[in-house]
Amino acid sequence: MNDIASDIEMMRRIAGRDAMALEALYDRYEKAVYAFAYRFAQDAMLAEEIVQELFMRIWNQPERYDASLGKLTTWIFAVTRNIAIDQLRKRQNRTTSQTADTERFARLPDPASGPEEEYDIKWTGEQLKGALAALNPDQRQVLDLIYYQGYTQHEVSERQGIPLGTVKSRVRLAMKQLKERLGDLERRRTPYDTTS
Amino acid sequence: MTQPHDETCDLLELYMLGGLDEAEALRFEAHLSSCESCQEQRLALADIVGLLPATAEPQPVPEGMKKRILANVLAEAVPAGSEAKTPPTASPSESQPSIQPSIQPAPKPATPASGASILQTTTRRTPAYMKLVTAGLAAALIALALYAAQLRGQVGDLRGELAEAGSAPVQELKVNQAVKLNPAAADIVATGLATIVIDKNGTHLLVQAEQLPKLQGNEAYQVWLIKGQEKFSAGTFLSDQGTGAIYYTLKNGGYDTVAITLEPDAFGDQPRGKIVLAAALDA
Repeated sequence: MNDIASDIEMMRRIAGRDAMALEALYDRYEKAVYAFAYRFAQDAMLAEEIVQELFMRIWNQPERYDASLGKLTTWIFAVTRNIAIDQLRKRQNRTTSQTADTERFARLPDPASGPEEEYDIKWTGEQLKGALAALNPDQRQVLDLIYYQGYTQHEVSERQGIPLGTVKSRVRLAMKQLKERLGDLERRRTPYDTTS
Repeated sequence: MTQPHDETCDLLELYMLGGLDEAEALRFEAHLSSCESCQEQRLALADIVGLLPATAEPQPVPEGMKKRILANVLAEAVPAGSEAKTPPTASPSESQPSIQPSIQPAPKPATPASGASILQTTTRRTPAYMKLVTAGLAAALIALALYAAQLRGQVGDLRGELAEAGSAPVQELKVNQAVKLNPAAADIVATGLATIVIDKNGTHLLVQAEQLPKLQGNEAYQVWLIKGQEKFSAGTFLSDQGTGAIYYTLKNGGYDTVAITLEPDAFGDQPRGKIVLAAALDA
């Protein structure tokens, strides 16, 4: 059974309150989810809280994952980001209602997803890391503020004292550059795809 | 088919990264549903955004994280009509090696169909553990749960309840001692009752409390039996609407105090938080 099929099977068992399936799912994604959570929180205890909240939601609301719309990893990482951003906003006393719920991206149908499009995530992750490092500092900062710190374009504009149009153009140029650097990925789908 | 460029298309990257506020995101989704160009671009961008989690630097996972998380997750209330199975890692004997609490949920009066338990314990019995529970003790547990429910219904008048508890033991149980738990600080309004009962299987402690302060984050209530300077955990519980209870079989006697503390989590071997309720016991 490939990973996608077994993910779906595990979620089916979790929906049936099978704790062994939850443990198996935990074992499969613990390291990746923790590393991702830590990237937001920069603190071991806070990262653990994020991971715990993720598995609380998986256990208590497994029906929120719709396998017909995409891969489980996509949903898991989208939910993890939402939890992490919520936590950041609470810690910083920022409003919590402004940011769009990125779990929505995981609910958009993606007809292109399928097991045949699996590939070496670690390798492509490394490539993207290199591509991110090659961005100019302004572009990298805007990406970081939006994706990892949960600021909206308006908040970035205000916080950095730059026009809204500059925020948009930095994001667009950054994404364009990343796309070019990873051009060979364009028609391949990723298990971490946030839109599948 | 080509479409005229719409300024809204310029928001695609921000949308994919989560940089739009809720209203903007909704408007963009309406646009996306009819813009072929954005739909096509979205797939390409999804590859990039989807790989961002894979760029996170690997981090050493904290020791014991799996055990803590699974124990906490599985301790949550389960929907009515379903039963949670517990993985070996969440067994009481592993998560709290120094104690072996037996926890019995007290029935909630007029419980709605949601199935929410009055008591959300931080430990659950494993099938292996259940094998150790004798039929006699199981009956005693049920009796105790009923007893707890009776007490709960009358907790508004604990003084009266004390007299009742002393003179009206339930079934084969003999109430050996029942003491009112007193708030440890002036700002605490919680009330509680600790009852020691004896049956053919041994001596058992039933602790019940109401109007407990609301728990935050991973906090849990922990019951302690104290003998001089030594403190022994009798188990942890999570409160539901300020109410919680715990049942514990005493392995030794001679305790002089019973106390409930508010702990930062359910995994301490020694008290770290403040005492909420306490009472002296007849050693």
